[in-house]
Amino acid sequence: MHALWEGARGASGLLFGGDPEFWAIVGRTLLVSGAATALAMSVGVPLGYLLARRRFPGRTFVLSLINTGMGLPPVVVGLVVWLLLVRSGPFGTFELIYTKGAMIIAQFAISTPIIVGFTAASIQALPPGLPDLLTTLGADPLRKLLLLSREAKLGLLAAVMAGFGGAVSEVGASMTVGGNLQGSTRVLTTAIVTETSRGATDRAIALGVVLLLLSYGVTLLLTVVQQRQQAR
Amino acid sequence: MDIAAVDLRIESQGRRVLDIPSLLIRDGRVTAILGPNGAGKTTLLRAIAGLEKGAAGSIRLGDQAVEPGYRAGRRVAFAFQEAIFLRATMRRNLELALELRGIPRSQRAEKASDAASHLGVRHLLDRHPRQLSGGELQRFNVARAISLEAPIALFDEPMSGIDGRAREQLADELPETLRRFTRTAVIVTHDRLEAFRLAQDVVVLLDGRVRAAGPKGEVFRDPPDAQVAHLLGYTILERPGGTLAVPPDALRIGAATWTFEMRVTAVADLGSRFEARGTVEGTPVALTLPPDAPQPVPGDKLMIGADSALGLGPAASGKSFAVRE
Repeated sequence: MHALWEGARGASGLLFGGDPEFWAIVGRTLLVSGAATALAMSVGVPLGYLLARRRFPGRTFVLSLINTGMGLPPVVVGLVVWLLLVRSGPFGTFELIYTKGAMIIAQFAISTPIIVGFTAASIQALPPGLPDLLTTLGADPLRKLLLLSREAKLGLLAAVMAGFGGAVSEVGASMTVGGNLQGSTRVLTTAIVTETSRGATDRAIALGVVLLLLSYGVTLLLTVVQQRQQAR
Repeated sequence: MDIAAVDLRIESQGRRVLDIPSLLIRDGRVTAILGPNGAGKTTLLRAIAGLEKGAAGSIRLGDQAVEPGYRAGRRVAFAFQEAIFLRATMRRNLELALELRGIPRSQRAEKASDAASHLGVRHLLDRHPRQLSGGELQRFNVARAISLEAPIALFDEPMSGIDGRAREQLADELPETLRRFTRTAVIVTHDRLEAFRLAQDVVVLLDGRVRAAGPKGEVFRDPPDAQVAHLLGYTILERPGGTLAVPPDALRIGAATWTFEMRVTAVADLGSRFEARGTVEGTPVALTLPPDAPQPVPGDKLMIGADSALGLGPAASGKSFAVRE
């Protein structure tokens, strides 16, 4: 209990003390997970839409893969990305291993199935006749996608929340492909592991609080937007 | 503009749902596509709107062929059977449809309001879809289609979900509304009375095939076979040598040119009159009893007859072998 109290005191000192390394970690976390989520949205939303709307052989199989992917163990994703990006691997020449780029790729791989799954479910929940209605009204394919996305906004916002949550909270992949290098690839989750293992409980707790606040802040923002839409 | 289908064939899950060698829906008229559920009526409407991607053959709207996609959609207005709206006010929904058709912003409000007025829902324009009844939504569904003032307007069961007096009123007003907002209207319905009330021409569709088409009077007076005659409201009775199609309401109690024995199975009090239901040699029949007639009870045998009827060939032969008598 004493350690927890001391940790909490130390955490508040860090939070309000302006430690540059601490805030660099926070910024890096936002950058890496934000970029991974944005990329995953740009790929996952159209893919989810196609899976929801198109009928093709093997669709059920693809959907089952996506559903499995929604619960991928991050450390396994990290291992696969590491094997691909490591210097002797097929994409080793890009020299991405142990960089923020590698971490974005790994988190992208974790987020994308989540976003595809949520998007497909939210598009499938729309009235089945809605796309045909928009076609006969004269909406071109892009306008149709935008109008359908707006109708499915509740589900799509849930997709962003889940995708970002999956990215920001994982530790195994970031550790494996980022290497947890101080001042370079250390993010909140990997920093928590490091600080805990070396007994700096106050810093670990402070980082944990910030991670929770960050996760909560993003989710709160999206929930407000989501519920404003629902109230209409 | 005319709607012309040539060699139109559409299959779904290995089943041919539409097979139309030739069909002309005439410009400037209201045409009803009449048929039972599963006859292919909606598929035909969707093909005209360019929504059936796997269609073989061709459909032309005037001199332009229909290609699947949103460009075909822009030449027609389509009110689907299910009234679907976006999560927005009905005004926004109607104005969005006009926006997608490229109508200038300055004209949208007036056009939306005008169409809603004709359907009696103008006072509901600022409501959201979930605040409206099924009948009100259906009226907005029709209003959205007519507001586009497309040369061709397609309506899939436009009266569905509208009951009672509102339905009667809409049936009375719709023909005038269609004349005001569109040139050529196609209305899909399974209800023969609705088809005859709303349309000038009737196309009878059965099992994906056009079995009769033309001005409604001609189609009614000359059904090609028993199946079509039954759909048009005739009572079909078998007699030695052929099939007899008795027009709606022509059956009465007593001997007549054609006389039958009816076994009564039920008598219903409809308030202002009684209706006897039963069978003639296994075929279900119904007739209205005059107010002064003795009321039969189930199990009675009644002598009934008709003075007008059509002689038809065997069901689905596609030919009539005798003219009306």
